[in-house]
Amino acid sequence: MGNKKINQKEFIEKLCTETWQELYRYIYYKVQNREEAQDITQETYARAISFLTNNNVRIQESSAYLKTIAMNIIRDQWRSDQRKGSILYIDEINPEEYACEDFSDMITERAIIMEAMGNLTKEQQTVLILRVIKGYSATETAKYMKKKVGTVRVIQYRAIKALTELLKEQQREVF
Amino acid sequence: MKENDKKISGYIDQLNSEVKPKEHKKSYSSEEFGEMAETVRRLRVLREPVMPGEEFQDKLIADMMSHAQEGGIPDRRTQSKSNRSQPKSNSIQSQDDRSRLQESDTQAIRDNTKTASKIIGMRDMRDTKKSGKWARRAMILTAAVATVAVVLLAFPDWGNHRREVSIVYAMDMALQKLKAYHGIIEVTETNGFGETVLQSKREVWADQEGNYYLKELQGYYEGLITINNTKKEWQLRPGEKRVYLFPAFPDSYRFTFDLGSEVDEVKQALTVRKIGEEVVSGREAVLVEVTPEGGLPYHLWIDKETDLPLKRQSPMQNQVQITVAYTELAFIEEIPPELLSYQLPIDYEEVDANPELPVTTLYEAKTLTGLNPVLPLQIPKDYFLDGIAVLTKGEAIKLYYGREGAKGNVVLLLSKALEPLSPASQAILGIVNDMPAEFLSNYEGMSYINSIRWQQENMEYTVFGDITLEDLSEWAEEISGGKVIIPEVKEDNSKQPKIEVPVNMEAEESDQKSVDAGHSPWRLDPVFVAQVFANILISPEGIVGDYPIAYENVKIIENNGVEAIAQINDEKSIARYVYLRRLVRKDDTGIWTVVGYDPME
Repeated sequence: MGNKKINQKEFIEKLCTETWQELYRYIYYKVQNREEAQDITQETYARAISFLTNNNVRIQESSAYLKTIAMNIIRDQWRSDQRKGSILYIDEINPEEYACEDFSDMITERAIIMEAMGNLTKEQQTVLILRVIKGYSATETAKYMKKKVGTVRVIQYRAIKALTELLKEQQREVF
Repeated sequence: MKENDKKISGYIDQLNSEVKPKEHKKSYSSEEFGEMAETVRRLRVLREPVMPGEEFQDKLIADMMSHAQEGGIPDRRTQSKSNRSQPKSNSIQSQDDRSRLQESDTQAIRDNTKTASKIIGMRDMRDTKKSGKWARRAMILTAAVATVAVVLLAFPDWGNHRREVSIVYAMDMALQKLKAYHGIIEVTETNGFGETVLQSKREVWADQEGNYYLKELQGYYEGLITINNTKKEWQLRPGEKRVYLFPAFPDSYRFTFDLGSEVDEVKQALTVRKIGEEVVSGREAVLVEVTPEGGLPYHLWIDKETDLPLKRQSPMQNQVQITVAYTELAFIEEIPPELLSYQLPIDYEEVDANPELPVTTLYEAKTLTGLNPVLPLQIPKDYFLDGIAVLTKGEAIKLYYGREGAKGNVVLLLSKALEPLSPASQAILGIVNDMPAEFLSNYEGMSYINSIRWQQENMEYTVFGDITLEDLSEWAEEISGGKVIIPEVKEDNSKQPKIEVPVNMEAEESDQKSVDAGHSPWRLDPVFVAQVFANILISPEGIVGDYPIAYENVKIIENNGVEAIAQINDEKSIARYVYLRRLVRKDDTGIWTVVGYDPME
């Protein structure tokens, strides 16, 4: 009994230490804010811990399971009408493929977005870079671009609309 | 649209603050908004995730231990509150966040471009089932990588200098938040032996409006006080027991290491490169190397806490290195008003060195001067008429324009055209409303003031200000009612000299350094350089006494700021036209060099 507890403690420590960063990043990419990513990371472990400890899953193999749980939590938490695609279940997952696809998908996703960005006007690109990528406020962006805050918001709105359409178009071409 | 543009802006703000958007707790208000929110999240993939604080891992392990022991699921909401690293609210800390983001973002983009082709290869080999999908993705990826290069070129701050851009931006933002400051500046000089001497020590009060109070505490000008309250400038000289009055703008007494000017200079620099971290006056600072356009790199220490410059060190030139540093610096709400109010001290004599008389109306100015100039029907946006003055000596009217909520003063000087326009020797020669015009980037020797001067209907117009020549051109167009043409800087093969003069670039670069250090200032004057050349042509053994060809007999007929042609109007001269170029540096600090000439016919 005592040994089992020690082993469990070691397992949890090792599991969390070795996997939380990758899992957190994965969740962050989906939700794009620290508060929600932290919450979901924690809930993912809470849900997975019994399954992983009781089924002697090797830590190297746990990553894909954790991501699947995380994805389900995100889908559960966000309303279904906001979501696209179907819910994934642990039983359906092939861990190796899932973990690998995640990485390369991210690179492709970035490239797709960069390409779409290239089709926007320079002004639109500047607003999106400052507001979304660099994280400046609308006021800071307005000062930087020597424009009114209202004007920045309008450029931003049009840029995001245009980018949405461009990404949809790319989606249609690819799939 | 009105509603959604605000909503999407709010959504971006929430993500930027790293908090869970309220829209993630309930449904989106419309399909359009939902799609746009998704696009924003996808776009944010270009930046690296903001990781939790260091304590997150330990708390996570502790919670999971507790959970395993209890056999239940911990309350996510209560646990997460304790685990959550709160987004930083302090603006300076936010900047740190940004810097970190931008650094990691650069890496992400680099990784992106580096690994893209590798991934395509991996996918093609591994996944035959999805080969069609991946082949199409690969095509997009390849195209996108090319686009990345284009986007990187269009936005240099996405590339290698990202980190530096974040430093510059942080400085700019810190400056915008700055209201006023009070500090002690020390200027020291270090010689080639490493000996350092205090040149001056001054107390400075300055604000964002351009007001300042400057007192020399130590050094050659000890006791001198200069005050500019943006309406007037005056200088108390205790040694003479006199107060000198000057116009507030343009200000030829601007002090060294004004934080606003310093940040502006860094913003305009070619490169800003972080080279280390040091402690300056007990404050932690980031050390950067700033390379200005047309200048040698210098070092700048930026306070980590405030993001503002603390110290600046010039490169060692001619065995002399100048260091300017704030030994004390405090940020304040405003300069004490009593420091900015003019009062003539007892026993002091007032010397009015300001050649202007303020008037209240243009009618008054016209009556006093007898001038009836054409005035701009419209002035560029955001500007307003801030004051009118007439010159006490000579018939001229000055109109002062200020700018709402931004820097940039413009002055329009109107006088009678008593003689044909005679441009300054260093001027770029252009056109305003089909008339020859003079473009200067150091009006009356002040490097921060640009000017355009031309004549029209017996009047001479000069418009000058601390804005770019391009922005001043807009004024010149409004005033003249015609087009402004600044000559383009480009190689013009149709204007090649008949006889070329060989150039030793090493010697020219050495001469440029010498001029930078204050020697041979005549090399900055194309007329002087052409005159010396024309005289040496006729007296190759050297000139004793006065030059046979006088300065007045040399006239610049073309000058685009980088290439110039001087005409020699002297029968003794061998050269008729002298061709000059700025070979080392292409701005008004660059020396002129003769590259050829056309002989007299």
